[in-house]
Amino acid sequence: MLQPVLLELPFLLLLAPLLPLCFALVGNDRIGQWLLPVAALPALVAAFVLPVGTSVALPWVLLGAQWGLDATGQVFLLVTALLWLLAGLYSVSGTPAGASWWRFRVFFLLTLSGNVLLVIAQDMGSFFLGFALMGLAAYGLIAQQASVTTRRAGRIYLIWTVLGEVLLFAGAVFTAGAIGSVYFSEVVGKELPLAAVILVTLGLGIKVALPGLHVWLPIAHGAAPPAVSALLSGVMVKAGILGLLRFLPAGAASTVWVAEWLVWLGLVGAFYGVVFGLRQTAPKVILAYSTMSQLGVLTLLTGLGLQAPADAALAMALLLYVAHHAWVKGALFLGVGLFKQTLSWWLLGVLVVLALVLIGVPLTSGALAKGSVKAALPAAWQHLALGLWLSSLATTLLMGRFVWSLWRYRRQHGGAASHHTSTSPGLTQWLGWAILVEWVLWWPFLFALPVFKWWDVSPILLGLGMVALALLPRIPAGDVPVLVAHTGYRGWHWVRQWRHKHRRFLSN
Amino acid sequence: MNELLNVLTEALGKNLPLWIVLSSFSVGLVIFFVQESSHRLRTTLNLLAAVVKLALVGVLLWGVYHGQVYEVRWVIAPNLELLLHADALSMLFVTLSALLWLVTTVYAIGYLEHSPHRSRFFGFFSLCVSATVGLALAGNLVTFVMFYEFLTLATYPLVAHKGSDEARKAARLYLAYTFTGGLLLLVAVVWLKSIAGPLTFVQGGILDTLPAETHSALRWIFLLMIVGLGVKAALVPLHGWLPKAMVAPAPVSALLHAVAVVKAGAFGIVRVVYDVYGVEFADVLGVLVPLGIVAAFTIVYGSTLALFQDELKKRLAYSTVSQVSYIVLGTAILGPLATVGGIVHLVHQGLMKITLFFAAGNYAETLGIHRVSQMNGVGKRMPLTTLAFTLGALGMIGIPPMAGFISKWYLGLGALEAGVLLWVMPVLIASSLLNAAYFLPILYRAWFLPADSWPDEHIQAQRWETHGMLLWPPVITASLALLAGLFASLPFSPLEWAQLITAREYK
Repeated sequence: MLQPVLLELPFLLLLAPLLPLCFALVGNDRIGQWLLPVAALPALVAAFVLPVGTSVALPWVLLGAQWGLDATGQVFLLVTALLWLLAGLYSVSGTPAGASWWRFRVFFLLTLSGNVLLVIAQDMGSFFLGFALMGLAAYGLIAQQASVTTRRAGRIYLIWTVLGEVLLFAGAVFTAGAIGSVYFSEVVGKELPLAAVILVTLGLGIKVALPGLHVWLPIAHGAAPPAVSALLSGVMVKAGILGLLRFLPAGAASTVWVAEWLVWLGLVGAFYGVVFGLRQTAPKVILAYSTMSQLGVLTLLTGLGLQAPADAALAMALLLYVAHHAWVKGALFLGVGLFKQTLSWWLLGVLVVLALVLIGVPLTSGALAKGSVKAALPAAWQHLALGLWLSSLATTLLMGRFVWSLWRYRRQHGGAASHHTSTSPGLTQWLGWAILVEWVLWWPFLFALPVFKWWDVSPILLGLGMVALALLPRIPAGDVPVLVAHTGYRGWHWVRQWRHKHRRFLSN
Repeated sequence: MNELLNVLTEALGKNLPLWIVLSSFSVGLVIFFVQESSHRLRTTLNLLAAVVKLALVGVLLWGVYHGQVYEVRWVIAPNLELLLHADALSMLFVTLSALLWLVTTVYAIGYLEHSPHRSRFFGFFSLCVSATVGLALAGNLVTFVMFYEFLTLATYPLVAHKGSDEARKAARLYLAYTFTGGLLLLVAVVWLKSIAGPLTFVQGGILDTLPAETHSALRWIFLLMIVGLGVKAALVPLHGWLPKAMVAPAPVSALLHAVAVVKAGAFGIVRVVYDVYGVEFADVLGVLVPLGIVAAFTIVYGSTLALFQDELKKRLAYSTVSQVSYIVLGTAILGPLATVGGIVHLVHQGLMKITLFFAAGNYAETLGIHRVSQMNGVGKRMPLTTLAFTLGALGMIGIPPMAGFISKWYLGLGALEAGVLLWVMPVLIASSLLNAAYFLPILYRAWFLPADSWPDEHIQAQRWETHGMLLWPPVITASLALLAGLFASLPFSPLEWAQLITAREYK
């Protein structure tokens, strides 16, 4: 009985964005907290169950709505729903109780609804609705705790978000007017005025943190709770990438002009994020700059993809990269939250492993994503391989800084975990994070991993070497011999002291 | 017997517009004589009239949709006749005002529960609505002007209702502005009548057949008319009375800003441009561009001034100045899509703005909050009111799925179609940003900041956050504003109706 209902296709598509909205009405805390992960379930099921090409027309809604799944949308929905589900699980016990708990839940569910809607939207009205809902409601998540820092972060986030939405609105009106339709399927193969393309790109460029439009990103991530940072970095910013793919007709002259800019801006962003991230000390802010850098790579890929219609390899590479970054960055942010609560060494170890995944050491999703990107570079853009090589090096350095910042954080709050945070992590926090980490480590094996090449790991090894150099303790002049002598002397000293201390015991 | 019934129905059918005007007019007259203390009788009369009117409007709507013609003529003198006529555009306005009148009546009954002079208030209140419906149903310019002047008179006592010095001063200012405007309009109508004869509203306009030598006179007449109507529509620099008039009680402000006075001005401009001049002919005369520039300036100016108001109702008043000019802007852009955007905003702005004023009234009546700076944490104390306010505010910014998004979308598309996107889009963008800048901080205060003590709490929270008759009107109108946007493409939605009107204007 249940099965036919579940397989009733439009039903699932409608449920995915609407169920979270219904859940937002639940006032009871004890029920409500469990609805956070459950709310993402229909979207996840839809991503697995619904075949590509499913769509449902809602001609009465807004300007005439159509929701559906295409190949890109399916991957985005899977990535989005899984991260929302696990971040929701993490949040069940990971958020302070009290009056603002209800507010957090409402904004969480509204943001989720918007995010899912924009993924399945096949028309501009629905996309814009989802985009605006997600963008505005996320304010409530970022400004969750009332403090001067979060208030400032929230304000900056909101200003940039509204600006982005207004620009996107202008671009969408322009686009819809030019092609005479609000459906994305009508965009394909059309020619758009350059101004429309630029407006759309600027509006979405704020979301994907193009250099210059990125100000809000590190500030918001620094202030938001870990689960929110995970979602922001993992999936919400990628709405910008999806939007670019949806709004801009690949291969059209005006798109190609802008897409070339996107390639270069993405490349700049990839390094910009690292350069400024290297000078940060807060672990979450470093991760945020890393997100900016990774978004640079994604923007670059999007720019490449928009230059010619339907490059399957490039599209596949882009999707793999989206999935890779979303999940691993989500796991990193959640892990930092747990680490700050426990300060345990083994958590630091897992975070190092996740950082290595992000860098792309062999047998990880990073290697898979980067390998497929390299394989998919169009012939005219082969020289970008060097840029990607340098970007790998830069990412390695930034992750080194990240690990250093965790170590420093532990030393500063050393042993005083109980003073620092009042609560130890709840069970669902561990559960949500553990599942995500498992998944991050496991999912690349569903694909054919790239063949090991020294060229691919050379930037990583070089970077790790540089990190090791930077993290080594100060080395005295005269280096190794002096060090050996020094160590020997220290050892001898230690033995003497030990003997002195235990003389009585030894003599007995 | 049967024949008699048939005759009656037929008579009623033909004269339906007249009955609709009279339904509130007669009740208004009766209410003047109801004793102050007989609360129940007055309430019954008020609600009965509002419900009957809504029902009659429903019948009329059905008839007009099915192509029936409703016309009432009354020849006063040769060459001078009063004409009530229901066409698609008037139906849009009549339905809006009848619906919002009912809601506002409920609200006003709750709002004025223990205040003096209620019979006077509700009497003029009913007259005010009769005038609004009358000018909506007016079939020619002379009838329109008559009801337009009548509206001025009926509203004056409402603005002055509180009787304080400030209220009387504001009302005098209102009267000075609107009478001057009315006079200019009258001069323009008489002048036009001497050139063009009977000024019956015809979709597509009636003046394009006039010889070319009259064109310069027609331009001057257009200017006079726009100035006359622009006073009520609060076009800058004729808007001075509106922010002052917000001393009136909240239901009056709500009615003034959403349906009656300001809307009457905007509606008049729509009528003059489309059904007297004809939008294409107006374009030939070259009067649309200046009108568009004035509207654009008003939009930005009103939003900018709203930023600096701490008094909530004043901020909303400047917001009205800005938002009503969207209607004028849509009218001034040649092309069906812009027309749709302008006309549909007639309804959308009404729904959203009445919600905001209801909510502002609730804050004042329940907690004594008059200023934005007093609104900290009010969301927790009055969640439903604040939710309604939030929806209204988001709609004003133009965020989907609220109705304001639909208006802005069509205005933008219309500007693109007419090739004027270059200056219209910056105006829309600036206005959206300014709207966000003066509404979002309010929402932030209401939802995110901890509450201080309230200035003057009259109504304690019991089952609901405030008196039910105050609470439900904004909730209902906010829902309507949400539904009008979310289901914009549904048959009979304001958008669909605006498209029907537009299709008839550009035959």
